[in-house]
Amino acid sequence: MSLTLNTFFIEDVAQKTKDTIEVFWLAIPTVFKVFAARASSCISVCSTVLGRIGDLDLPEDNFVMLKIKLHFFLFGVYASHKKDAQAIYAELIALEKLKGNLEDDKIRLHISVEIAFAKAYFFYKLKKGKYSKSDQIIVGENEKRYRNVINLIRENCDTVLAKMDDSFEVERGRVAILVCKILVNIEGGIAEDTFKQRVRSAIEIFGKYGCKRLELQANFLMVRLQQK
Amino acid sequence: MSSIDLEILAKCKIIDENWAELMSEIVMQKTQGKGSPKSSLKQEKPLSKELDAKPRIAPGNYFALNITEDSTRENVLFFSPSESALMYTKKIATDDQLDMLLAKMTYLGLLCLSMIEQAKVENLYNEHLVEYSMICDHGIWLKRKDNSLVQDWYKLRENFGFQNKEKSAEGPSTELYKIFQMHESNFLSVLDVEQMKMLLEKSMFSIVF
Repeated sequence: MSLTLNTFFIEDVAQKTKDTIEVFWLAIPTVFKVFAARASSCISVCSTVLGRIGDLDLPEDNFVMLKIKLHFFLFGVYASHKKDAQAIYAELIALEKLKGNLEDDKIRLHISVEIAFAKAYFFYKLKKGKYSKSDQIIVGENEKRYRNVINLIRENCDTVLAKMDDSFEVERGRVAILVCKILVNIEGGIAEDTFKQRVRSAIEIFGKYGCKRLELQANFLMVRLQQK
Repeated sequence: MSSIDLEILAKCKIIDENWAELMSEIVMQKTQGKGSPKSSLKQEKPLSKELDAKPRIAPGNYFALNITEDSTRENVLFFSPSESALMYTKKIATDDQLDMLLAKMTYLGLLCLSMIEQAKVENLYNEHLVEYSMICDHGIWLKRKDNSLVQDWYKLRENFGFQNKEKSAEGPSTELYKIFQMHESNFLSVLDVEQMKMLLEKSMFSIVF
């Protein structure tokens, strides 16, 4: 009896440790991103966490997911700071590799959608010349074309996201916004009524989730779409 | 660790709600005869809900603790272990050290989650179309509900003083920034692979046994 209790307790400690690492080690770069005085400190903290997770060598999906989220974190920070294109693209490559380590098919599908969206966003910004050293990046000219970016989203995000539950409604909203942003940029690009409807829905979703900046962006896009 | 943290821990019932009295007793025992300011350690009133540790515990370098005042905030004290306390913790059993480490990680994890939640309430961040962080609570970023830290947080989050406060008309909360500065080194201190391995390996060995 005492052995059982002891084993249970110790297992509990191990599980507690894993649970704490899974959440806390992702929360740390986030608080540095929000509160640290220097923007770059969240990058170094996130890189440190990634290194430590690698050293721990925990094979479970939860920890693969943690690594994936940390790479997404870096991608988001690099992209919003308009860092050099090579560094941003390297994160996308790392994400593609890590995706293959996931055991759960459903989670892998969710990650595939996120990666496809991140890629589409990256190529859209690359085409717009928003990143430094973009001439050094080796990607096909076709990939950077606006039409191909839209196809990437339609084939890899739209169909899958449509089948997902309500917890992915922000993702659906983001996809709608990105597609419409691209359509606004294409000469002669006309947004179908369905897209306008999707932007209207996105405005509601962003409002519901308190994403004020995205809500504002979506409203601005709506105006531009109406003018087309 | 500050008196704010101890107050939160008391609200979460992780430590005794009379922590201030207990701490002043400990401090007094170890410093009697060394000229400690006894008058300031007298405890006549019950523990107030406010963060008013200052009237009970006087700042100073004591046997087990170094206590300092926050120069920017009234009635906030910082507690750090003294050299002798650090030497003692190095000598105590590894199991106890690991328990303390897990408790520290749990508290800091809960604090982090509460800070992120309050940052959302006060719009302290600048969201982008590619916002990938724990600020998000949708899609792949949803917290796993069967995670024990998340469960603890749902149970205890109301005890974090700054939680769910409305955004102040004066601007973003400086309190959160101060808490971050106070714990910046603590957050980084938990990224210790060897200690994590000890926690995980200990359990693996025991399961085999």
